[in-house]
Amino acid sequence: MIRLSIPLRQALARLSLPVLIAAAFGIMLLGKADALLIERMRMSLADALAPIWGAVQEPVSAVRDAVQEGEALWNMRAENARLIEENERLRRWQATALALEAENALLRRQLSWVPDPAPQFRTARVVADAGGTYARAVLLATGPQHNVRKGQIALDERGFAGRVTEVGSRSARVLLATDINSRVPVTLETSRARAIMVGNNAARPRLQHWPEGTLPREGDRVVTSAQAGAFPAGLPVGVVRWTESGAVEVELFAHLERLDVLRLFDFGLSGILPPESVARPEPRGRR
Amino acid sequence: MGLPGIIGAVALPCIFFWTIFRPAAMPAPVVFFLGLLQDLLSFAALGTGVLTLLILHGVTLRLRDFLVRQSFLSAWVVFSAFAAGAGALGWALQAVLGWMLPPAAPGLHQFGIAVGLYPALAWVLARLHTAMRRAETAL
Repeated sequence: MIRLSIPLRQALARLSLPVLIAAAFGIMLLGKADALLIERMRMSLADALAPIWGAVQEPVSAVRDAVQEGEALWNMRAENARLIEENERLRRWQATALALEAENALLRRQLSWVPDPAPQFRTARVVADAGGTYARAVLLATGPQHNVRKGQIALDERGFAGRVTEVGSRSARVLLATDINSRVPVTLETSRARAIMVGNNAARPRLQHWPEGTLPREGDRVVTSAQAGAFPAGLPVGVVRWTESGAVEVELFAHLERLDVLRLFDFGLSGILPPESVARPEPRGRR
Repeated sequence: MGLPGIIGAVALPCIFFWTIFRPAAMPAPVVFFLGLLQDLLSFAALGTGVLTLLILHGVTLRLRDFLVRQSFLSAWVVFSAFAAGAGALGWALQAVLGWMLPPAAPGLHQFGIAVGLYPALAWVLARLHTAMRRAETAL
């Protein structure tokens, strides 16, 4: 340790705060100028912390599971009645679906229809909400040998959740559909009208830019649209809801508040990705 | 509000408390490092947390002689004002760096959590502080 005279040390202590504030501005500029470097720093930190997040998540999920178990026991009776009623209804739908499936097969035989290839997917555990005050994102632990790529689409067991934006060596970050930077081209299932689903950091993203004359109706199913080549058509997203103030929102099928595992689908699409991520070499194990 | 939001809300009271009662243990470089860690862990624009925490640290250090004599309640009130200022600064920086108006609600949530957590954290930290002082005087 270098011995400094007391006035010099005091002067240094007084200087350090302004210098560090200037450094903070410098970092801000750096973050704006070289987003790739910052992204690499973020992901290396996330890689290092992914096991720790996973360990921290264990007791949290244990407590959450216990609470859910208790709630489930409490609600079992009402749930049972509801399920019996729903089962009746679903049986009727099942009959309809089987009839339609048979009809569909019959019609397809006449058209020499080429079926879509089944997409590959892998499942990854959510280890942390990697968002913050102004962002909605989650961190996935993918393990060291993975073939997760940028632009892959994340679905939970109910529907569309988000898109992979950053990939590290053993973790990946998924920007959720509710984030303010999220723009998803969607189709309204009944009217086939196209629109853009815009995240606003709230629980329900907004619907924008639908064609004039086709107003989205309350309860319309919203699915992804293949426009711009970023998403395949027809992934379930949510249901249209009108707010009291007259805005159109999408109630997502996916439960983004408590994600446990996400399925990452590789549809081989690379629409709307920044150039550096497309130019990057493919990870091993693919093709 | 995920875990990183809570990290931000916990960092504010801790830095405020240690800057008042043990400034030697919370010098500016440490604050800088904590802010950087917070920014890297969250998805926020890099540098916003660093600047917010450094300014909180600087202002608290300037008012330290006054704050150290205050009762818990008035320290809490002052902290609430600081947390509101930090929230507003974070929001403004986010707006300038992202060049769009972010919603105010998440910032308000963080402010509420920070203000609500302060008494609990201050209680624990005050215990720690007296224990450390006792250990120091015993030496």
